[in-house]
Amino acid sequence: MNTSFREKSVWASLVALLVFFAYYFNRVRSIPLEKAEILTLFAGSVVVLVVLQIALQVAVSLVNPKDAAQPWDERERLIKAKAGEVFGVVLAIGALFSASTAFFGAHPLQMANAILLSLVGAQIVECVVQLYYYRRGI
Amino acid sequence: MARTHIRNHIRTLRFMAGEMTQQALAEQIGVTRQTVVAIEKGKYSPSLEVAFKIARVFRKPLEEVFQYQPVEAVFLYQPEED
Repeated sequence: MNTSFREKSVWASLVALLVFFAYYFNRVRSIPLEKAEILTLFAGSVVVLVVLQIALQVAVSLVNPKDAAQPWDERERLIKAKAGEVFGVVLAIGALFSASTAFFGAHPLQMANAILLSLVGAQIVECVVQLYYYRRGI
Repeated sequence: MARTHIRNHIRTLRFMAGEMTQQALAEQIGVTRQTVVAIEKGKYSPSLEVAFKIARVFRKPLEEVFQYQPVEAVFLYQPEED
């Protein structure tokens, strides 16, 4: 089975998220907990993530211009919905974990990063679940 | 590999329809070629609407295109290969 446009698009998102995840959280561990520095790193990382996402999606669309113009079909919508359910569960668990850090004396910036970690982690899991369904069937 | 309980004869019907391509069928029923591949291989059960559209393309009744495979018989089912 050839890889569909939507599947390639998910791969592109996954790569962008992993690059963001690796860069931001690797850097944030090594800098002091000061608002200005973390804010600069966060803003810069988000810009990199957005630019990377757009560049990869445009590249995928240019390779498959005809498929990119097609609307989502029912199988693709079902895969997106099922992965969305998993995303919600992972995000909820992450949010609870992030909130619980307050009881262990976490710095507000550490809590903010825990929430961000939950969000990025949930999105990565969502991509992986989508790729699983595209490959294995649904 | 995840298999559905619905078997089908789409590969045979495409052959009988002048070796209709998966892409041609996909365009006629409004799905991607990959979805047609998934349906043929039993990796995705289409909605009733898409199932009827497929049957209509081949001018066959629905039950000649799709059959329900009981759970205990699924392991014996080998989907048609390209």
